[in-house]
Amino acid sequence: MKFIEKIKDINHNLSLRALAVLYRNFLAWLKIYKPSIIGDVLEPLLFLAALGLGVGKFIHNIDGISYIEFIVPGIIASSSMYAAAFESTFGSYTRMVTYRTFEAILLTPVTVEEIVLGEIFWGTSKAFMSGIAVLIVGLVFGWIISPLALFIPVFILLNGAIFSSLSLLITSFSPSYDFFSYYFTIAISTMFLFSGVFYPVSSLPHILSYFVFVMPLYYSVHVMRLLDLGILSPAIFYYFIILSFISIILFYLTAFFIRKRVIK
Amino acid sequence: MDIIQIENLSKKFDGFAALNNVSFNITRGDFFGLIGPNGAGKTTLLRILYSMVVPSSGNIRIKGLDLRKDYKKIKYILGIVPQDDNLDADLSVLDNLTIYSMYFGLSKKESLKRSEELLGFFDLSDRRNSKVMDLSGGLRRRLMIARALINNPEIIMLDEPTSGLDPEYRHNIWNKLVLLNKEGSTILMSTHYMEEAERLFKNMVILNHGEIVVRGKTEDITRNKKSLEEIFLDIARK
Repeated sequence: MKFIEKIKDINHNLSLRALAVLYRNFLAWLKIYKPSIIGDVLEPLLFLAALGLGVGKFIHNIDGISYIEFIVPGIIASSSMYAAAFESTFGSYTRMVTYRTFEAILLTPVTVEEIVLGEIFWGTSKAFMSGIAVLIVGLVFGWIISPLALFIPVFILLNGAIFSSLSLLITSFSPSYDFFSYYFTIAISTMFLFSGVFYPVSSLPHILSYFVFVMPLYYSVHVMRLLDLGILSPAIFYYFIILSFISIILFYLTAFFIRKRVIK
Repeated sequence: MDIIQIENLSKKFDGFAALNNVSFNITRGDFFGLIGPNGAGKTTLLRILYSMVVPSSGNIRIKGLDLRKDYKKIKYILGIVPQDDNLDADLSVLDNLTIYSMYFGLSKKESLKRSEELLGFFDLSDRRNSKVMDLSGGLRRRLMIARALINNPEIIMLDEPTSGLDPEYRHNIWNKLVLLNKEGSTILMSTHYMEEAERLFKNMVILNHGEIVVRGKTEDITRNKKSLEEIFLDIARK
């Protein structure tokens, strides 16, 4: 029951004031948006070009579509994961520890929970920018297959929210920037390589395929690919529910642990 | 009327008692000082008052509201200048003020008006578009105080606001604080400059090892004895 009380406390401390935190981050970003766009937008496009066009030359088709068409939804999902993960680790840590921005905000009526929500909104926004850029390039070059792909942005937002929350949760435990190496190598890179971005997970050895199912990125890649292929399956709805549920759980965990970290 | 009431306040950090059973009240309109050697508990006490540290026990009422329950409401009437610089280094001087006003829910119009007033009051108007990183230490400190006043607070809390500043900046800040106090703000401030304490504070408590060792009107404390500096040294040596 203590658990329910904690959730009530967190809800009690939430309001739209979180948007002020989002706006603060946006304003700060406007001053450095050029280098930021290189990382969040140009980098996934490099992957898409190098693998899609380069490696794709040797793979004539995969599940009946060209290789670049196959990887577009995967790159949308993975680029939004990376954008959220970078922002909510290095970015949030800088605001929490190095610049003490969280502390400055806490001297006002804004609560820890609102800061957490604002930070997640911001990480999700960065993810959205990154994922949408890949989607637009895919549309422009004709690598998008079905008009159902227009629903992909909904899942970019969900994927962004999940990875932003998860990354901020990691940040709440992090003693230094170096600590993020563990997270990026063990969690993020692993998901990038094994979630079906570059090949169907069914081609992995059977034993590995079990690990795939605990990776949130797998679900995002899978659902984005279904939409891209125009397969209207009930799985899309289930994934929407599962991914929403994961992001909500992660938000509460993160709010709890960030409060523990900043209020002594 | 007592605008701040502190009753039997204690705080332990991993078994170490940073504050031990501290009680005192501050009346509206006071210029109240917290003094004591380093590690006496001044910062812990202030951080409890602005809800960055949760007390182990005790009660605090600010303007009649229970700090534990109503800390969000209380924040609207506080202006806080912490010890460490936490200005928003990513933003300009003006943006530091306008963004801060958003955290208090001020409208855009109010926010700009108030920000310009404060920039004028602290002689920062010609630096409004400077990056915070390009300001000198003294100017940053003034901006910290300006930022704390964005919500027209009834109570201003400052943790060693003049430490490390040259005499000119220090005098400048003293003058502003005296003016604010005359206009009706209650001020609670810590310092370890005794000259500053004697000059500014109407009432004070002296803390040592987390306990109050002296309390009262500044003039009474210094009346029959030596200077505040000597009293302080006596305490610090204990």
